[in-house]
Amino acid sequence: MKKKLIYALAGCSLLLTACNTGNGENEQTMTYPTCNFVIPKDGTTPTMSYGSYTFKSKMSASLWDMSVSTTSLSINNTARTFVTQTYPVVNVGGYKQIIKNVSSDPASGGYEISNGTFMLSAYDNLPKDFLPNKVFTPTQKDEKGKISYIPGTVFYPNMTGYISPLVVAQYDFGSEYKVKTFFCDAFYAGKTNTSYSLPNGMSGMAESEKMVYRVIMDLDKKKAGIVIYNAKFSDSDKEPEKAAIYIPGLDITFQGESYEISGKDIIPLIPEGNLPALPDPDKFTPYPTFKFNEFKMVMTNSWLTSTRMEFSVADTYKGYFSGSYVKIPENM
Amino acid sequence: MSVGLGCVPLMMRADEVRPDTVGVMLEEVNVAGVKQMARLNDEPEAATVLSGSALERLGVAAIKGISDVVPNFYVPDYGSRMTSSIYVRGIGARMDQPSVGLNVDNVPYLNKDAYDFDIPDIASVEMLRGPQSTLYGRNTMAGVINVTTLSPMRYQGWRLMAEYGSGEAIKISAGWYHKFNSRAGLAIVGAYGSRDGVFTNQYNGKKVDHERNWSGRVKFHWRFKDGWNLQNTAAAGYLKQGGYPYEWKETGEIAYNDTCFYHRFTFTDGLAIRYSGDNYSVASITSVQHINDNMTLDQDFLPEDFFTLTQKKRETALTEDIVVKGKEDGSYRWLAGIFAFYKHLDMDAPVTFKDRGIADLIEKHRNEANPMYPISWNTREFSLNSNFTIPTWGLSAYHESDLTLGKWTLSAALRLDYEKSVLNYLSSCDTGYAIYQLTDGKYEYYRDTEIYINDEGRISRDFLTLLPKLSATYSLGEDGGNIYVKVSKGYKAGGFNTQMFSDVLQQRLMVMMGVGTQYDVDRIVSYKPEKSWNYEIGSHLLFPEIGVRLDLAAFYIDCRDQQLTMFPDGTTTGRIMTNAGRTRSFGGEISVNAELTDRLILNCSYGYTNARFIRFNDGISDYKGKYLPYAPRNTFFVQGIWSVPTGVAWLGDVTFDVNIRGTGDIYWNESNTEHQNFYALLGAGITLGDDRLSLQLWGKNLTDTKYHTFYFKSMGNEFLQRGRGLELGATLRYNF
Repeated sequence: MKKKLIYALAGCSLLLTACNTGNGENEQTMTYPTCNFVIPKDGTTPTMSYGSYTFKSKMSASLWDMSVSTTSLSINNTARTFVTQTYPVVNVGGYKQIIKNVSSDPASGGYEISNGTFMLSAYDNLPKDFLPNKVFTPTQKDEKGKISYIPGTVFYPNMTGYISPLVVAQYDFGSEYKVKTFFCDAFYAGKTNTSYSLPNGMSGMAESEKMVYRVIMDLDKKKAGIVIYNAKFSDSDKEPEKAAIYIPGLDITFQGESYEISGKDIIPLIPEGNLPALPDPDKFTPYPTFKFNEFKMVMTNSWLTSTRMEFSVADTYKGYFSGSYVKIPENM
Repeated sequence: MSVGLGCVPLMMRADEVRPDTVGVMLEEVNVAGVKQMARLNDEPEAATVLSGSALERLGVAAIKGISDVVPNFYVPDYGSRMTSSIYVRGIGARMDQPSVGLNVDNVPYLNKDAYDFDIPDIASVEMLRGPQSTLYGRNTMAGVINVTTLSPMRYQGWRLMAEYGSGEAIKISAGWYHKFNSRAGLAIVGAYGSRDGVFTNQYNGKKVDHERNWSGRVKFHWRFKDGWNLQNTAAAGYLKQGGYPYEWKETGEIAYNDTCFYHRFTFTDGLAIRYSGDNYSVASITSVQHINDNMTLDQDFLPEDFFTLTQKKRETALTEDIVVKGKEDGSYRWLAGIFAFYKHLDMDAPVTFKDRGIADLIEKHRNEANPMYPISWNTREFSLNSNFTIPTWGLSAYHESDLTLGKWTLSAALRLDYEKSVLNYLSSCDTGYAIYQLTDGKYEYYRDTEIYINDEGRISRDFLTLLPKLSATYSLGEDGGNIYVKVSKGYKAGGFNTQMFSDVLQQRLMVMMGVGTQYDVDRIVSYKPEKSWNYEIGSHLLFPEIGVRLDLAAFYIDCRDQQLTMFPDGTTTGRIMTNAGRTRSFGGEISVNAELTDRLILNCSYGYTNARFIRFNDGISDYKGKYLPYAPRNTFFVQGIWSVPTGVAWLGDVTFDVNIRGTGDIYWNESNTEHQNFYALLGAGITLGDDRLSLQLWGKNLTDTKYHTFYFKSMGNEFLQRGRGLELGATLRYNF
């Protein structure tokens, strides 16, 4: 499972072309989807939109150079483009590649960007035995009754196909905007501390690194849903572990150069049985026993990769999560 | 070595060949003789050899029968013939890989599910205690049992046997032994056994431990050229058995509503060819074995419809052992060998949930978690299906060198053992349920949910290990015995606990219903090899002037990653094989064989084992210092044999035999909260006649002692199996 989520940067992608120039060089061009958080420097309301970036890499003499371009950066409902210059890639162990101090040359076409840092990374933070796809990959049954899994489909809305490598970037767009990328369907892993107090007098605290939070954002509606995998809010035997519990209809709000996701009195849903080919929350089962009295998620770093979540459930459990969906290197 | 329980040469008629002479004739080839560098008497081994007549006197026709007779050797009789859980010096196994190897006429039985079968006309049973891994390889960590059946080169004529005993138990066998000439012989043996049983299922009033079994053997021996020996033994058997007389501790009754049975077909063939030259010998031992069985259980063992389990297995194995041995005289002796095997297992193991099981184990958990949206299953019976294919193969090479310096013999041996096993699994389920919504106190239909599971996977494991053995033996002179010290490493292969798949699948089901923890199949099903270091000091002391033989041994075993079977608390359906942190076992054994007069023999043996956990924490409890479960602390056997002439020539002698077997204490669980106290069973027999015609009247457990042989917990319920009570019978033998 982890191998599906950790993408060799030379591997799965939406668009991949590679060629050998014949001069002992290798070139690769890859385009990855991501989301853009556009922050006006004049303090007006930021915007969020879907987009993608194309990374052109060239290796010569065992060193990689990379440039970035885009044709889908939406600002004021207009798609903007830029092409950066080529920069040496800094490999920071594992599946991370970084280019820094990035800027574009408008003479080459497109708009000007500056002070850019771009990183490509795989998911590197998930628990070793995280297995959501095993359970929730949709299945189908043919006319002979044979059951098979539908490959390439993922549990919930907006995402089909394999998840591509993560784009983590910040740059200045001209002199008016700051742009940060973020991932609108991200798996956050870290540590969850819970405390509980039951009506029968039992109480306690628990800590878990098994719980994983998948945050799925619908940018058009400014709504988000969060799936908590391996959800258990106490160490009590009375509380069953829930393979996945889905909190729908949370609100996305902007706070400075960041955003928050929050909601109150939300009845979560649990998926039961085999999912249909197209994910449909209407086919999930309400779980009133575990009503989320409050839920709040804030981003805790400027790269929008780390978060803190606080929630209370069923007026019984309180939880605090701190984690990220990708680790940011120190020299980023 | 305890020689010849019941072997009393002075009681033989001089002109008759007794078919029970200990040891093997030079013309015969068997794996035990091939791998011994000296007479077993002189080996640094704690070994017990039981002759054919000794086994007949004790009424032993299968391995379970020598439990307790051999010190620190315990084989509880419970369940069915599929269960052969042998414990030696605290080391044992209830599931999957055996700890004690079994060779029958050169066929190494790789699957202990086939260990328990009646063997007519046994010539000898040899039990070597302590690790035999260096020469015998995998799964001989606690010892090895070598069974040799009667050879046509040793006995010619017919051997007929008929027996009747308690529980309507009948056994008949017929063996024809023919020697064509001094070089070739053929034996054909057939046997049938049946019993109606002694344990009653209170639910339906029927006996549960009924049994029918048929078996046959063809043994061919041919010395086709000077120096060359060929021996082939083919055997087949078919068994139909009830079994599993487990009583619920709460009621003390055996009462379950679904059927339990065990059916098994086995076929084995062992071909041994040996060349003996002036300076060396080469032996090739090839075997093929096939087992096809079906175990079906009322898995809850209650008169309720919870669930049933079926396990159908088809396994075929091939083995090849080539041993080269140098000159057997001289101060330096050596042997070297290569062993290879391949076995292929196919298994189908569906668990069928029934009405009460669906309600209590599935619906209840789901509805307690989400009472506003309760569910009801679409059917009141469905199956979780599991299919496995497990190919396993292995290759090993071994060598032993012995050097004799005066009275001292130093020995060093080493084995390199490699094994690979692959588990291919397919788990499937096709079922569903309806969800309701509780509104204003009423249940309204919400929607249907379908459950399809179709999980395929492959897990591969390989194991490489080095198995050394060192010993030093001091000879006390010809017929004086010896003293020895030995250090050796034992090894039991890792593998896959397929029985755990029912739990994995059930949890998968619960996860798909929104409640439950998904198991990592690899982590739950795979288990690691078990390894041990064995330190032993012993002695074989002979006092021929007074007809006494004394065997002593003391041992210390340090075991790492011991494979233990645990029944998880709660409502799971399967058992877990875990590798306990570390255990240790120490103890001692003493055997005395005394021919007090030419008509009075006394045999006794005692074994003590103190086996405890050094480190074992299962995440819930810490068992450090607790006794290992299922391994008895004491085994005890004493037997007196007194033969009196009748004075009538055709009647022969009257032989009285009284014996006592004792076992215990036995702890049933890791926490040592349940145990069986030490108990003793009195047996006796009167035999009238001689080697040609004899009638034996016998009794076992004459005091009808109450005891238990097995304990387990399932779904929070405790179960026990009672040992057999008083049994009486008669055996008629006619050899001509």
